[in-house]
Amino acid sequence: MRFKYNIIFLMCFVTNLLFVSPVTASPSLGSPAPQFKGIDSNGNKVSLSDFQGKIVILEWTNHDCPYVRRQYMTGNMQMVQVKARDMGVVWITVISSAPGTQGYVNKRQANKLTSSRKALPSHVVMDPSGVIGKLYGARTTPHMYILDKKGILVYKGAIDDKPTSWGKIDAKTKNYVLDALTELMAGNIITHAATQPYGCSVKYGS
Amino acid sequence: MGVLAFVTLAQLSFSSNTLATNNETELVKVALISEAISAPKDLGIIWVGLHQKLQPNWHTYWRYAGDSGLPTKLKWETFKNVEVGKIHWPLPDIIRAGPLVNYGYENETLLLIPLTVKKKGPINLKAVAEWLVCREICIPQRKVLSLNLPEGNGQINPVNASLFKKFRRLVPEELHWPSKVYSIGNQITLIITMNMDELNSIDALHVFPGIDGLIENGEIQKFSKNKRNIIINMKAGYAIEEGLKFFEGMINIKRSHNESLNNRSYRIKKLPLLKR
Repeated sequence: MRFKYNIIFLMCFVTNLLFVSPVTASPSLGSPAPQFKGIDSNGNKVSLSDFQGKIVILEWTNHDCPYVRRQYMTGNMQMVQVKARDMGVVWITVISSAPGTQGYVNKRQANKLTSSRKALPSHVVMDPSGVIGKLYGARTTPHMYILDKKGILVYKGAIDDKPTSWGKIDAKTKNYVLDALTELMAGNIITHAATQPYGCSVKYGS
Repeated sequence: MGVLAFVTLAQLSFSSNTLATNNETELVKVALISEAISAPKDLGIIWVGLHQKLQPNWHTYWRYAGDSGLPTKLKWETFKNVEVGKIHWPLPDIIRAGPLVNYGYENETLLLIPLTVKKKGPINLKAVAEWLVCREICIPQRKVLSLNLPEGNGQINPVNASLFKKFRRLVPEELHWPSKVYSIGNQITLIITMNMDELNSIDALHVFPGIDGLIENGEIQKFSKNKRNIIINMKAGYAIEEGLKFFEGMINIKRSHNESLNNRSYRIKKLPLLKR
């Protein structure tokens, strides 16, 4: 009798196995962030190792996701980008939408989005295969990561503490990325180093 | 100005690509419904529900949405004669999008809400519901809802009775077996102690975490049994590494040979994560 149930259990595993190809677990805080190489929207090769000695912010995006739209339409994301730039931070926007899914753009469209939204990324990395996204366990847009000057992951999670696509971003909103960046620059411990990212799912192809 | 900004944002959100041609309010029909046709004669608890009826392949979310998405929210006005309780969430579907896993509702759901009636008389409820409805893409929506129950004897509304019955059965009850959770290495192990008959009746089970980062949602949960216990091994999520000290969630148990107990869910309230 027990044997029979075990088979049912086993069948559950097999079915699960067929459907599951999990996002690689997100990298650990305090560990070196995973190395990656990619092509940016200007056709240039970008390697994380190019930016050693600099703070790097990774931003997963999908311009048609309402949560991303809210960030850019309110000017909030650009405000963070300006402050980050002034602190000498390298800002890498990553697009992991698979071809044919929401947020997928070609290089020209990516550049057009940057200029029309007055965004200030150092690079927009094209990741249609989702390899970089999965390497970082990126699951939402936006999903944010901060790497310190040694390439150690020091923040991962949401852009702020208001998981909504509605309304203005007011003074009561806590911008986790900006707070973490400020604490990092001051040499302080980051108060909220891992938060729950919110938004649309990253549109991986598989 | 604030209102204007809001309207603009809402419109822009809704004008998202391919959906421009659909009537988006129809993606999910949302209503506040009551189990009773009128306010009760005596003080006590009555049940209302947020009913969501979805177009095929679209879904809304459970209290913990999973790797992405957002739970449905209700903002109630305050009422003099009733106290509004928390949402009782029925068992969600497991919805996969590529490598991501979400917990939500396809087709139809009823989020149950208890009302404590403190004063006799008609009940007039008003709330703003906010929800995210997704297929491949996501659309945030909101609606102002109201429900008015005239003074009466609180008779069950025959139109809604089966809906309440169906979804109430899917709401978890408290886990009544002794249980422990261990956090060792990158594994979370839930152990539930039962008697032999109970153990043998179980065909399949699934753990739904209630907190982000508790387990890796997309990873396989491995179950086994010994003489007294069900043992479920799950891969630890990021929050464990960040120092999360407790487990919270739900377990769904399938017992295909026992109709009355098949597909039952049990709420696992905060359990400390033991290190052994």
